[in-house]
This record gives sequence, structure tokens and C-alpha cells, in this order.
Amino acid sequence: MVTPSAFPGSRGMRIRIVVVHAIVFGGCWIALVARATTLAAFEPALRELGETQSAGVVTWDDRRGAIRDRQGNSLAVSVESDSVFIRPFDVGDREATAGLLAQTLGLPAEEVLGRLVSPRSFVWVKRFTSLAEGARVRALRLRGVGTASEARRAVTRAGFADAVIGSVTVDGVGASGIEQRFDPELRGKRVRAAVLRDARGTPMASRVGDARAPAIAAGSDVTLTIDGEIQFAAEEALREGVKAATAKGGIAIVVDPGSGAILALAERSAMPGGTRIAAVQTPIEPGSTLKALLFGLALSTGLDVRETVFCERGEMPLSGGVVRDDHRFGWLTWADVLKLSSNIGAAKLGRRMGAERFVSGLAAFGFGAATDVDLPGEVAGSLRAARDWGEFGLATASFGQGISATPVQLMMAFSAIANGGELLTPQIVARIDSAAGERLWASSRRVVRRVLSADVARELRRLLARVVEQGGTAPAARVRGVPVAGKTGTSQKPDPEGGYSSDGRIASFVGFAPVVEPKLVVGIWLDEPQKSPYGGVVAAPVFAKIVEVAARVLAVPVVPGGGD
Amino acid sequence: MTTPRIDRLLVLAALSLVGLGIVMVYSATGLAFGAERLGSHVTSIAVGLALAALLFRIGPDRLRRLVIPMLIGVIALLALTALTPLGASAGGARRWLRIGPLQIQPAEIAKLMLVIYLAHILAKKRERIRQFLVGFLPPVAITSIAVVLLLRQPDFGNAVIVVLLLAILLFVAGTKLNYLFLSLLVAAPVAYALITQSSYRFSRLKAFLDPWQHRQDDAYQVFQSLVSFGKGGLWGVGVGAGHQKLGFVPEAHNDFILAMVGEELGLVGVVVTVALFALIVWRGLRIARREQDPFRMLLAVGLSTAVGLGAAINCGVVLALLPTKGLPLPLVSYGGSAMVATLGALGVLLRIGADQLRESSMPSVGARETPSRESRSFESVGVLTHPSVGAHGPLGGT
Repeated sequence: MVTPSAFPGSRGMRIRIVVVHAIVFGGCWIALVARATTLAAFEPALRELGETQSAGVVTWDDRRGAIRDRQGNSLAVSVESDSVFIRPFDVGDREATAGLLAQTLGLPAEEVLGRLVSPRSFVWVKRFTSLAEGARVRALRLRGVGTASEARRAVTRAGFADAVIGSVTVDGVGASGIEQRFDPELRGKRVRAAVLRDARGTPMASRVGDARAPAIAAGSDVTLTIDGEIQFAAEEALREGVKAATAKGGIAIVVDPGSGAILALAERSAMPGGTRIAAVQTPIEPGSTLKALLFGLALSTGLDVRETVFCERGEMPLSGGVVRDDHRFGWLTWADVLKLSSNIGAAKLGRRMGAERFVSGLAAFGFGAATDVDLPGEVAGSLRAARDWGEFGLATASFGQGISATPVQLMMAFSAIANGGELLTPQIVARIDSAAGERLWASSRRVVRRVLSADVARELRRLLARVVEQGGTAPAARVRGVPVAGKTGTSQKPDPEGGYSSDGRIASFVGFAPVVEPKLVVGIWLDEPQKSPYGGVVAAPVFAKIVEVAARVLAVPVVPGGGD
Repeated sequence: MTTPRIDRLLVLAALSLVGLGIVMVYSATGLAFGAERLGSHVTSIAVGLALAALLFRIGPDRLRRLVIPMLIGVIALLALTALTPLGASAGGARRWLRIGPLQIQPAEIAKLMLVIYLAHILAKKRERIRQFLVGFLPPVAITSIAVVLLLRQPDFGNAVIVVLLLAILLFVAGTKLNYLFLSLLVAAPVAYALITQSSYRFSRLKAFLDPWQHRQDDAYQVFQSLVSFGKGGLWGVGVGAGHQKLGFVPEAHNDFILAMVGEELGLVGVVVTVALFALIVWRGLRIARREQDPFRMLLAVGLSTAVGLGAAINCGVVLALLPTKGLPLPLVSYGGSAMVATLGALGVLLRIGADQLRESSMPSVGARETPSRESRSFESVGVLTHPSVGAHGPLGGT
């Protein structure tokens, strides 16, 4: 060291510098290194805590499967959406933050500010908003404001087949309809992922997003037998029909009689049962539509429809009540009893058949037993034992009173007439495919039993075709180029207080087209139509409109001069 | 005139720490703030480097001439911060002075000014340093004013550093040890009272004494800091891969940045960091020991000690060897004023060293710079040519 003593006392100062350096700093450095070494090498408890405290597990259900129509178009899908949240404690300038958020989300600023001053550490501001809006919120880069990715269930067309599709809760659980019945299939698998979490225990959102990307655990897609075009026609025709008849609501169902597939199921509100699927959950008295089944059973026992029967001029007193017709019919052939829908004629046919055979015949048509359709909450209707009926009971049952069936049950009975005599299980789901595209399940034609012989079915179809002829009860059901057949019905609604409601009626028409080798069965029910209680007047035109479109969709050959 | 030769090891150590700081500040804040915090950190560094270059050019002697007005100015700033509404508070302490968009922490400037003042006064009174009224009382009195204002903010950490700086400089300058011991006897009860009568200092002390016991409340930050070191182990979890910054260690980019080093770079990173500070202190005190002018010698001691004490106390806090103070890690922590002041101090220190290197490399003693007025009369060697030239030596270019 070439530093000679520069000034008096400098030697002492240099020594004291060395002393400070050695004692103060030497001591400091040694203590720090020793302490750091101890912590890093000999404190396993610290290491363990450090490794566990930031480790978290998040679970979520993967994307819910879609519900599609049979053409493959989506009816209900899960849409990625952003939910905006605030961590009030992290927010810097509250007024500015609330103002910007309110502007971006289109919410009142006071409302956002109100949530901002919340004493909680996490508050939702807006849930299930669009991804674009979520992106705009993120672009604001506001402290304490974030977005979380959440799946929202959306129907592609509001009010379209909504009763069948059903609904899901906010938590993504099926609550009604197909969403409920096939919830286990539709629902995404529960996914667990190890994530990083911050000191508050909040998972780091970015990691969750990364883990969500592969859709391996997504729910299966359920493809319905619903035909989008026919469903649309049914929705439209029903809406117009309900309006034209000033009814409270209605049901329109289209079934493919060959397979039992439900091609359309439209419901408008205020049918008994409200928002549920009235078509399977509400038993309705079939009314005169039941006469078609009565004639089917009678034909099977060798009825000659050319024989005549006296219709008592409109009034037939029996023990227990009086059977009435709207018209004072005299002698009618059995064929005309069906065409003109004589209650007295039907009652006499029922009496001729006997309660036992009638009841067992109706049971064969599927009455009193659930159809096993894949919709939730199906009921079986009621079919009392024959011995309980009595003379009057048998008479009224012959024209569809005192027994009940759901619209879908009646549709399947008519399908049996249309398809040559086989009662089928109705199909609403065509197939289920996994998210990976694997076919998990496909529907197949399921025959419950043969109800009618092919010959009887053919003859009954011919008889029912006369109903829509001029002079029949439902000429309004005729469609240009497509021969149709069917049966009208008017039923009194059971009064909640017992007996029948005086003015609560359901007008119906159930029929098929074309008459030879029918391709579709269509049923219409209108609830409390103010315009007219007759199915031939208010329900038949709705039937005609649907058949017109459905026949085209199904490529039913047009018969020149056929039909109307 | 040759270009000034600077102490390369000192520069290397300082820039390594600054580089480490840039990486760790970004690691600690990137997730929450993107590059925002990094940007202002780098801006502080740029300003600090500019100040270092400026002070290097100005040199210690011209600073010395301005020491009294600057000291008065900085005490005024401290008073403004502590006693007027201009002082901006954060976390219960008024430590910042808001000037337009700028926020400065006068305590950091005050430390630098006080060191220059103490070096000046102790060098000036050097012959009579052992006299109580001449050599001891004035520096102690001036320092006390600063300490009182710092305690008023309150900034206990910087007050402690200032007192320690005073003690070390008095010791090196040759004050009677009796005075120092006496001061200790006076200061100890005052410090005790300050700690026990301030609830937050007392709870910090309790937390410090048993961090496991208080790990959910008072010692949360310190305890999580210890967890960081435990988790980092020997080599650390890797830069950016640490989790302790996710709210487990609050102020991870600031006072507790060494905890981030401990987690992400491990014991190796911590030891290297401490070694870099030791290197700065060693080179700084080496410059002091080689100095032939008492003012410059004491100034070099003060500047090196200020950086070294800041580092040692911060590391001591983060490693739970000392109670929490609220002091940043010099050159590494996020924090504008401290970064700027520390780089400025190193600029002055480097200049002192550079002048020595020039001296030893110059062939002629006649061209030697005259460091200061006071030293001139005590020069034992060399003939002075022109005092005016000497004063401007490295800047004027004779």
C-alpha cells in the first residue's frame, strides 16, 4: 500500500476504519450468511409450508353437451361467457373504477359503486356477459376488477321446442325437459386440476383457463328426433291457431308412425300444468277422438260398418244419466256414426262390445300405462277397471269421457292405426354422441304390441278419412294434394272441485296423412277456445297447416286431385 | 490529463445488484402489474445513474462548499414532510413529499447530505475532535435535528441508520470513546421509550421475537419471508417461478425483495447478494483507507457505510434477525428516492477513488490534485502549483 501518512492522525483513522470494517460489517455479513444458511438448509417446516400454501385444487364441470334437432342443428348449447367480479379491497380509486365499469357494462354507476363499497372480499358485478364485454372490461386494466370464464346455457331460438328442451339452473343442472332427463349424459365430467393459488386462496385464473382448453371431459350431445322444420311449422301453426280460437294455450304433436319418433312437440302456455311438458305430464280426457280406437276394437271383432244403428234422435236416457248428441240423428250406418261423431251411436257400440273387451282393448292401445318416452315426469292417465263402470260409465267412456290419457299416449294409439296396427314406444332422442364423436346410444324402433290387424287398421283409416269429407265433422282438416284422415274431439276439463267444468273445454283433432301408408300423425289440442269448442272448427285448420309443411318436408308424394 | 480511472470492482458490484433488482422487481410485480412497475423502476435507475455521473463530475470538494445550504435545504424538506400537509402518507407514515407528479422521500437525500456534512465538520474540527464542545456536540446536535424529524414522520429505520452513521463517523474521526458510551447510555432509554410507546413498533418487536407465534398477524410478512428462504433451499425455485409473491410476502418487490431472491435464486443467490454488498463496502473502505485527505476519507467511510448499513439492516430484517424497519435493500428494491440517492452516493465515492488512482498513476506529484482546502495545510509531501487549478483538477483540465 503506497499510502503514507497524509495528515496527522490519519494512521489512527485508517486503523479505526479497519476496525469498523472488521467488527461491524464482518459481523453483519457472517450473521446474515449464517442465518440464510440455517433457513435454507435446516428448516424443513418452512419449506413444507412454502410448498403447500400456494397449492390449490379447483374442480369444475366441463362444458355441457348440446341438444340438437335431427338435422343436427343446435337447439341448446353452452356458451362461454365472462362474469365480471370485483375485489373491493384491491380497488384504488372507487369512483373512477365504478364509473368506468358502469359505462362498459351498461349498468347504473350507483349500483356498481354500491357493490364496490361492499365489505366482502369478492363481489360479482355482472354474470354471464358476453366475451366481448369481458374483453372490454379486461382492457380497462382496473385494479381489483377481474373476469371469470363461466358457461352459460343458451337456446338458439327463444321459445322453440322449449318444453321439450327444458331448462338448467344457474349452476348448470338440468331442471326440466331433456335437460333434466338426460342431465347425467349432457353434463360435463367433473374436472379436478391442481392450481396455484394466491395468499387469499384464490386460484390463479390463467391456470384454470389453460386446464379448460382440452374438451375431453365435455358432456355428450343429445340429438332429438325433433325435425327443426316441422317443429317450426308446428310452433307457427299452433301460435296462429291459439290466437284464432282465442284459446288459453295448446299442444301440437307430430309423430312418425313408422318409427314412433316425435318429429315436433310444440306447446303454448296455460295448458294444464303450466310450464311443464303437458304432452306427457297432463292426462286429458280424449273425448270423441277415442271413437277412432273404439271402432278399431269393434272392427277387430267383426263389426260390419254398413249395418245401421238407431241414434235415438239425440237423446238416450240411461241409468245414471242421459247421453246426448248435438244433432238429432235417426238411423245411421256405423261408418256414419264415426264420420258424424254420434255419441249415442258410440255408446251403443261400446255396449255391444262390453266393458271388459273395451277396457282391455284400450289397455292394448296403451291407455293406463306410461309410454316410457324419454321425457321427465310422464304420467299414465287413468283407465278404471271394467266392473266399476256401470251402464252410463261404459256409455260415456265410449265417447272418451271418464278416462284420461296424455296427448302422447293418444298420439301413439293413432300411430298404431296409421302404421298398420303396431303400438310403438315414442322416441324423442335419436342418438347420444360423446364429445369425442363416439356414438353412445341410438334409438331403435320399439314395438310394444300389435293392437290391430293390418286389415282392420287399413279399414279404420278409410273410415277416418270420411271424417274430413264434406258433411263430416272436420272438412277443415283437408290439405290440397295430400289425403288426410282423423278424428275430432271436444272434451270437458275436469273441474278442480269435482265433476266437469261447465265452460272449460279442450278442442282436439288427431289425424294422419296420407291416408294410404301414412307418414305422419298430427295431434292438436286447444285449451278453452272461446271461438268454438269443436275440434273440427278450431283444431282441424291447425292440423291442416302442419300437414301441409310436414308432408313437403317428408317428401310425401302429392296425389293430384287427392285431398281437397 | 488521463481519463478518470474508476474502481471497476465497485462498479461491477453495484451494477450486478442493480441488474438483480431489475430481474427481481419484474418477477415480483409482472404478474399483477405487467411492465408498469418495471418501467418506473428502470426510470429511477436511469435518473440515479445520471445523478451519479453528475456528482462524479462535480466531485466531493465542490459539494463540500455547498454543504451548509444543502443541509439546511434538506432539513427543511424533512420538516415539510413531517410537519406540513405536503407530506404524503402511506401506511400510517408521512415519508413522501409530493411535488407535482413526483414523490420523493427526503430521508434518502437527507442521509447523503448528512454524511457530507459530518465528513466536513469532523474533518474541519479534526484537531479538536476530542473536545466535547467543539468536536462532539455540533455534529451530534445537527444529526439530532434530523433524527427528531425522521422520528416525527415516523421513519424509525432511517433514524437508526443516521444515528449509526454518526457513531461510526465519530469513531473513525477519533472521538473519545467515553462520549460514545455516554451517548449510548442516553440513547438507550430514549430508544426503549420510542419502541414501547409506539404500538406498531412494539408489535413489530414482539413479532420479531417470535415469528412462528405471530405468523398470522404481526409477524405475517416476516414469517412468510422466512418461508421464502426455506422454500428456496440451496438453488431456489428459479427466476419467476416463485409463489411467495402471490400475496404471501407483501411488498415483495420493495423492502422484502431479498425474500424473492431467497425463494427464486436460493441460498446461493442470497449469499451472492450479500457478497456483492460486502464487495461494495470493502472497495469503499479501501478507497477511504487510501485517502490522504481527511474530508474525503471520512466521506468515503460515510458513503460506503451508508450503503452497507442499509443493506445489512434490510437483510437482517428480511431474515428476521432484526425487527421490521421499513427500509429498502439499496440498489435492488423498487423505490425511486433510495435508488437515486444510493447511485448518487456511489458516484461521489467512485470520484474519490478515481482521484486517488489518478494520483498514483501520475508521474509528477506536482500535478496532483489538491483535494480540499483543509487538507492543503497538512500535506506532508508535494508542492502545490496553483491552488485554483488544483480545486478544479479532474474537471477543469489543466
